[in-house]
Amino acid sequence: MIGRFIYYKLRMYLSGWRNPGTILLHIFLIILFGLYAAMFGYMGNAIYAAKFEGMSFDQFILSGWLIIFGFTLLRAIFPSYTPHKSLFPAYYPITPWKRYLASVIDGFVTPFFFYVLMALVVVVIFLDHYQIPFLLTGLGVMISTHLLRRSLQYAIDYRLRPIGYGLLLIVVAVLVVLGSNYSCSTGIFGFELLVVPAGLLLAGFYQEKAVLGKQQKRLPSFSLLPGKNYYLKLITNNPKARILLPLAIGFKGILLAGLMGIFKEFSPELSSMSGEEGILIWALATPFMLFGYLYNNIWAFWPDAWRNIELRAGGFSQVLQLQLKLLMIPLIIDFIITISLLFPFYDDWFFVLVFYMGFTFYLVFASVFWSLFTPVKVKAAFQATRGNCSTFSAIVSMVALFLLVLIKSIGWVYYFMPIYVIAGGIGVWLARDSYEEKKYGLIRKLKI
Amino acid sequence: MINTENLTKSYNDTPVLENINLKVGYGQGYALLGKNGAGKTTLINLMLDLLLPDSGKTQIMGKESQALTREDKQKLGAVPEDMALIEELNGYDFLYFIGKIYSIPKQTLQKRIDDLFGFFFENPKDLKKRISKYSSGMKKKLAFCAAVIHTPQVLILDEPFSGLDPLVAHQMIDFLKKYQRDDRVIFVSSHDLAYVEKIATHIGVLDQGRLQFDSTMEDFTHYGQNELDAALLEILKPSDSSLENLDWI
Repeated sequence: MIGRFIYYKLRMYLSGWRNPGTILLHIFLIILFGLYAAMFGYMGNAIYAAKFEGMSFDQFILSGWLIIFGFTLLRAIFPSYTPHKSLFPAYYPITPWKRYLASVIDGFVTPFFFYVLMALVVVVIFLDHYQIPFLLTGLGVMISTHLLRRSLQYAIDYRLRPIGYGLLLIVVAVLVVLGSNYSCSTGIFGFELLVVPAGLLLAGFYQEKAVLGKQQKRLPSFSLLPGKNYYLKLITNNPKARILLPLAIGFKGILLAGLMGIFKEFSPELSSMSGEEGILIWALATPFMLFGYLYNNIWAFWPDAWRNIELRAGGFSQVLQLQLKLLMIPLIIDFIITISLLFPFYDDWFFVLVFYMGFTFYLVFASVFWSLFTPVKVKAAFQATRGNCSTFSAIVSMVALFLLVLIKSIGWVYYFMPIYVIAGGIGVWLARDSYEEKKYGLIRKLKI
Repeated sequence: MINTENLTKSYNDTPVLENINLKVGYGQGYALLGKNGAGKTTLINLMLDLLLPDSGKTQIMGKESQALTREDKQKLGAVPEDMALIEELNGYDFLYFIGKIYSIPKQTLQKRIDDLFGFFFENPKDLKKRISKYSSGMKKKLAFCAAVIHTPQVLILDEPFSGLDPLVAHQMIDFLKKYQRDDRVIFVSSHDLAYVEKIATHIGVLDQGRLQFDSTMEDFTHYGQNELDAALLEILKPSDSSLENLDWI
C-alpha cells in the first residue's frame, strides 16, 4: 500500500512537469544544487589539505550537516508557517500506523528532499575523504530533522494529551544531549543513525495518537518575514516572475562561481581580478541579469499591483515605493550570493561594495525610467523573439555595464561611480516628471 | 459629487463619447444604462483617470480627475470593468493590502475584513484561497469589498451585478441601500434593470456616444407608469429589422 502511495505521489508530482518553463526551472535548480554541492566538495578537499586556515575539516563537515538541519527545519516557517496536512480523513479505512506512515512519507516526497539528496550524493562524488560517513550522517540528519519538525508541529497545530507534550520534551532533551556530544567531533555515527530516526518516528506516532479533536482552526500566523509578506507572495505566486527570477539569480551564480573556479585554477592574476578574465567576473558581479530579464519592464509583470496603487492612491511616490519593495527580496538574495562568492577571493571589500552598490543604484533607478517609458507586453515567461524588456533599455543597460567594467580595468571606478549614481537619479527625476502623462501609455501598451 | 463637462473621447477616430455633460450630486444613486459598447466603461474609466479625454473634463468632489491627490482618492471607491484584483494574493491578503493603501488602522481593518467576508462569503476558507482560483462571482464580490472597505464618499461601480447569483446580487443591493446617505454618491453602470431599480434615484442613458436621458427615476418611468425596461426601450429605439427576416432559424 505504501509503495503504491509513493508511486502515485511521484506520478502526480511529475505530471506537473508538462510546462516547459517548469521543466527548465527544475533542470536549472538541479544544476544549481549540483554545482554548489560540488563546490562544497572541492572546499572540503582544500580544507583537508590544510590550504585554508581558520576552519578544521571536522568543523567543515559539521557545518554541512548543520546546513541540512537548518534548512529542513526552516522550511516549516519560510516564507510562512505551513501546518500539518491531514492526508486521509478520519473515517478512511486504514490502520493508524499506515495513516501516520503515509503522512510522514508524503512529507518526504517533495522537491526539497530530492535536491538535498542529490546534493549529498554530489558532495560525496567530489569529496576525497570521509565520503560514506558524510552521506550516511547527512541522510540521518535530514530524516531526523524532518521528524523533529513534525513532532514540534503536533504541539503547535493540535491540542494533545499530556503524553504528547511529554514525548516532545523527551525528544528535544535527547537531541540536545546527542547534539552537544557530537558537536565537536565528526566521529562516525553508529547505532545513532538508526536509533534516532526510529525513536523520532515512534514518538511522532504516539504524538499523533495523543491528538485531541480536530486541527486547530486558528493557526499561528508566525512567519520569518515581518508583515503579511505581500511582496514575497507577489513574486512567488507570479507565474512568470517565479520562473525568471531564480533563473536570473541562479544563472549569474553559476557563471560567476564557475568562472572564479576556472580562473583561480589557471590564472595567477585572479587575486587582483585585473586581467581579461576579471572583466567577465566583474560584469557578472552586478545584478544586471535581474533587470535585463524582468525589472526594466516591471509593470508588465505586476500590472494589477501597479493599477491598484494607481487607482487607490495614485501618484509617482507610491508607485516608486511599490517598485522598490518588489525589488528588495531578489536584490538581497543576489547581494548575498555575489558577496559570498567575491569576498573569499578578493581582498578589497570596500571596492566590492562600492562597485556593487553603485551600479545597483543605477540599475534600480534606471529601471523606474525604462518601466514607464518603454513598456512591453509580456505574455509568457520566455518570449523568444521579443524579449521581456524593450530592446532599447537592454542595449543601454549593457553599454552602461560594458563601460563600467572597462573603467574597472583602468582603475577609475571611484571617479566614475558618481556619474552612474547621478544618471540613475536623472532617470527617476524624468520618470517622476512624466508619470502623469506616461501612465496612460502604460495602461494602453500593457492592455490593462 | 461627480461632474463631467463636454467630455469627448474617441478610439482610432471613432467617437465613443461626445460632449457628455453629467452632474451627480450627494445623496444620489445614479444608474448609467445603455447597450453594449455604448461607452459606459469608457465614461467610468475617464472618471477614474484610467483614460485621458480628448476634450472636456471630469470632476470628482470638485477636483479634476487628473488632479486627485492621495487624500482625495481615499474618498473614492471603485470597481472598474476588470475589477483590478491582484491574483497573486489570497482574498484576505488582498483586502489587507488595499486597507494599507487607504491607511486604515489595523484593528478597524481587521474588523471590516471579517464583517465584509462574513456578509458576502459563506465559506471562511475562501479568505485564504488564491484569487486566481476564485470564480468570477467571487472575484466580483471581493472587488466590491475592496471598493467599500474604506467607506468612500463616492462609489463608482462598473457592472457590479454581472456574474453574481441572485442571492449575492440581493445582498449587494441591501448593502448599497444601507450605504446610501446624504453625504455619499453611488454611481453604477449596469444592464440589470431589476437591481438598478432598487438603488437608483437618478438614471442616465448612453447611446451612440451621447447622453440620451439624464434625469430622476420618476421622470424615467413617468412616475411609475412605465416599467424600467419599457422606459429604456423607448429611449434606445431598437432597430426595425424584423425577426421574420431570419427565415433560416
